[in-house]
Amino acid sequence: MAQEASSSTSSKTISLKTGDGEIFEIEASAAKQMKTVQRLIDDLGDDITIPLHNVFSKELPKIIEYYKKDITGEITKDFEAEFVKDLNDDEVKVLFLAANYLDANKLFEFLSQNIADRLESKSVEYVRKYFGVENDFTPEEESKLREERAWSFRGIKEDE
Amino acid sequence: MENLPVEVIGNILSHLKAARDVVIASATCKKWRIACCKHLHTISFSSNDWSVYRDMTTTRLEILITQTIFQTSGLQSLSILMEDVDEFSASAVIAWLMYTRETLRQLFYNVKTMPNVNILEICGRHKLEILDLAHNSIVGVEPNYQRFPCLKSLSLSYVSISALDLNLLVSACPRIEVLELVNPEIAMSDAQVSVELSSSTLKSVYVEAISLDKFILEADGIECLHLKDCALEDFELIGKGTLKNFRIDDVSVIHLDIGEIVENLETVDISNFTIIWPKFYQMISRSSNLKRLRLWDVMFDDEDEVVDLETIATCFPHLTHLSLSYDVRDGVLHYSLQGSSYLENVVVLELGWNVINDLFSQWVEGLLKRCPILKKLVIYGVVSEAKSDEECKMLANFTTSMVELMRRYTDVDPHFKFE
Repeated sequence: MAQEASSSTSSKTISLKTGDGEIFEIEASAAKQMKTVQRLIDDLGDDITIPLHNVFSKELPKIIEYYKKDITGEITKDFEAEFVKDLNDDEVKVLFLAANYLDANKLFEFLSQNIADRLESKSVEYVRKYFGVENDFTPEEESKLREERAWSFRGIKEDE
Repeated sequence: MENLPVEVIGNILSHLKAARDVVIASATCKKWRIACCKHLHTISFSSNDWSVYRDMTTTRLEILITQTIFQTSGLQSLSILMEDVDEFSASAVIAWLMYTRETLRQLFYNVKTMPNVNILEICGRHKLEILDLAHNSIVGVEPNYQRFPCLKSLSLSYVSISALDLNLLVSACPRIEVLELVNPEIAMSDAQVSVELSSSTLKSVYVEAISLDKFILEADGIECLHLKDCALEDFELIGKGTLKNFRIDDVSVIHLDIGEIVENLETVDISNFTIIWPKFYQMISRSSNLKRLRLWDVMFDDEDEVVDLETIATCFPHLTHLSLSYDVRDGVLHYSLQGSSYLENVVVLELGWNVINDLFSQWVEGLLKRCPILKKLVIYGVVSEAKSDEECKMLANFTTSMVELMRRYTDVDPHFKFE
């Protein structure tokens, strides 16, 4: 595909290659919003396909969709609600990690809020499971913590 | 996900915000506890988030808030909003504010303090961007050493403050953009109750439930002005004609002056008001850029002088949204529909009645004729609980008329909202 040598950044597209070998096109102005991508462009030039080892073909299109809306200023509350509506916990996590890797701040903050929303009124065990963290407190430490924080353990939602 | 940096976890916890959820999350593992201690920037203790707060004694609440805040460092946003607490002890509140002084950017606090604490003096001033206070007293503002260099948004609800201190406080905020005053208790030194505020950076002002003889607002950059449930004798806006959005709702005012230059007005929304049409017309007739006009539940001082479509069409050629609800009676109907100019750009029309009469559907029809590109019509109707036979008959007639009307205007999307 012939690359156009255009003087305005807004009409230029950048090629991104996912970790599983698929290539996606993105507007240069959207690429600017992903600091990791921009750094790679600065190092490698904008004519080369930018390799993204940690992002895959399942999630990149959704990220591109978000930033397509962002550069036209069309991100509304309705769009954001729709964007996460059908995502299960794992899908949100994958997108979140990708946004973190790409250093895509706006999407990252939005997904941080969405993850926080999913943790509301949940138990300690639920949060541990969601994030895959091991409890590394000693039994004494843990009981001390729970005692100090006894007030917060009232009325936990049943884990799903 | 298990390898997320501790700052990222702190960020997620800050989005989680509600103290109880944050505290639970901090018990998951050591890294999360550190995230809560060192990287949490936002926390909120709000009885709306968690009803269990309401079952706790005030002392218990003070203790858990203190414990939780004291385990953080670098807190930027603190919300303590407890609806059922009568008062927190001054020593607790002072402790919370002193602890967060260096880093605080946002403070939301709505509980009375006993004895009264001068929050302005104790809370962090240098970085504060948002201050939202309720149910407290502000006694003595010292503009020379109490400045709020970063404050953008100030909201005072049910706060007792003198007119002079309010003026000094606004002046002590060189970057203020948003001011909200709800039911303030303005202490006055002399007989006339008057407030004068001046700021060249203010963009949006909202005043609710205030009763004054005189209110003078000097704001060269103001864009939005909204008055609600106010009783004023004299209201004057002094500016450079930057006002875009003007709303008054259930306000009684004898002299209203929003300045000579009104060319930038885009939205005018007047509700629950008695309009002296010629005066009102004079005030907004030069707002040729007006896009939205709403006159809702208004009464006209002189029943022979009511708003008419011809005036609206000629003065406001760019109008896209028109909302009208007033008593449509015989003389009024004829007068208001006179002329033949079209409302060329109106796409949304909202019409309402408080007491239905048979003229309403004629009025709707008359208006539809004058809006050639109308896309949406919303009818708001008030239906009384004890529906008399006559009212039922009128509703039925209205429905018949509307069905017939909508058959002719197929491009228009009708909606009905009854209450």
